Amino acid sequence: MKHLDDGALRRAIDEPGDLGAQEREHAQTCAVCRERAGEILENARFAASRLSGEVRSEALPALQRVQERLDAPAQAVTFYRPLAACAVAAAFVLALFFTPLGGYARSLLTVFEPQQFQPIDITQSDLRDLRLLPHADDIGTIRTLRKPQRTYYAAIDGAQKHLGFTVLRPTVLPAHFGTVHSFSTMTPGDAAFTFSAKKARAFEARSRKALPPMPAVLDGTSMRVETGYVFNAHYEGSGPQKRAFFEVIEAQAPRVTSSGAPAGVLENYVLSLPNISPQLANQIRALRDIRTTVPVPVRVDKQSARRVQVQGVQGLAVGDNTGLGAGVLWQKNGIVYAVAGPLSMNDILAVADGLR
Amino acid sequence: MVAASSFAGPALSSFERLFLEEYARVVAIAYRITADRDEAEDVAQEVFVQCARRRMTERAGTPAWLYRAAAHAALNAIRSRRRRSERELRAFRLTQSVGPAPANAQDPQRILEAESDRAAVRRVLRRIPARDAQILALRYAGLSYNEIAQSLSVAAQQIGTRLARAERAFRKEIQREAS
Repeated sequence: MKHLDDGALRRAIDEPGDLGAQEREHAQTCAVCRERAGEILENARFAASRLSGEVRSEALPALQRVQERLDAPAQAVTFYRPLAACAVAAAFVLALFFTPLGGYARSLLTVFEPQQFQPIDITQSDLRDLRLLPHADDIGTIRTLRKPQRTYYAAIDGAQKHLGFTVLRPTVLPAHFGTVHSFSTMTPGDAAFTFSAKKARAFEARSRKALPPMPAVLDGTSMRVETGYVFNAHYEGSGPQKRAFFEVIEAQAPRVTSSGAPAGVLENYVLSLPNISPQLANQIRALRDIRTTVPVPVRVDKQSARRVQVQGVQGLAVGDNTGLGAGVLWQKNGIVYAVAGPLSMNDILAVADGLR
Repeated sequence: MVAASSFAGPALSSFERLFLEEYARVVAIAYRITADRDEAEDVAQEVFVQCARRRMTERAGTPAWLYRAAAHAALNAIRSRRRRSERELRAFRLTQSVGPAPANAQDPQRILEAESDRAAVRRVLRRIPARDAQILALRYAGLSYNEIAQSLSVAAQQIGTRLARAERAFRKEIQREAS
């Protein structure tokens, strides 16, 4: 009989019942096979000594944490963390953080609605510093008035029935895309943020970080953020594009209203917070019309941005310098659109222009 | 058309069932590679989040996908400098902590040796081919040959050969570390 191969000898250690009677007998009687089996057994024992061991885990609290993450709308975009998708997410974060305040600073009770996107250069040092900004909870109180609910669908038609606007559907897909996709919708949300000088002072005492003095008129000012319906389509590649994907996001433009403080106070306060560099603050102050312009952070060392025509309007395309990730943002008829993913800029723009 | 899946509807219970049935095993697979329970749980939770977002909860091959994804994500995790740095910082804090030892404290020398062994395993798993590291994680987390074959999308007859090769490479690299 032929000698047993390594696979059969290895399997004989773990699942000896799977060997036939003849093979079992051969393994026990053949000196060559016994010697090789001995080596394989030694290797297996060695690996077991380093890789075995129990690990305790508690499923219920872990399930709760996972469900909280699935319910968190902000993470829907950032989950895969491609550079372009990060830029999209960061644009919304910055828009919510700065623009309402800046918009308010220029006109009381201004309704903010994004209509255009403008790149602002951001460095790694800026990003590091921005992470050290006080949390909103440190300088005020956030109240969620209506929490957005996310729902998944098998087809776009299913999602469309639960949206307050007509979605555009991709008619152009990159090669090897089309069979794997998922769709989701987010219902409108509503939140209010109220500035608090008392909380800011408590933060200073607790953290030993100095904040700019909160003007008396700002103390108690409320800002309300209302988001509309959001549609998200996720497409995955197959075959040679197995690891690739892209996202299409279509969202009713958020509305932000604020009241309480005189013009200029809000913007000056926020932009003078520690950890916002003068260069970054100046770029935001220099935006053409902050009531309608979303500042899109672009990593100067890793990304580049350019204006593009998409769907007949001007949009902003952001690509990483390796050519492996890209995103494009535009606004049309009150809907903000984004297409992003680890694909070439040409592929992303083709998908964006092909939305119908 | 009715929503195919909603976290507020019936799909939630199927996801919960899947999670409760498979979580421990997914953690165990990730732990073989990370050698760090917290990090293994992070990896496992990330894998389940991906699973839910891809609406894979009710597909027949989902457990096999979870196992493969756990091994893959754990390998990515140990290859990530940031996570490695954080873990090493925690280890550093552990070894640098001062003050009277509690009554049930372990021998510091043994703690250091154990951490050193775990670090060596992580280094070797980063270095050997990913297919070898994956099969070791799956096998030593307790998967049968058939389950491993389904996870890796290969014939069950190939598992013994691949496992033997992976164990040989693993032992050789660990011994090289020690020499």
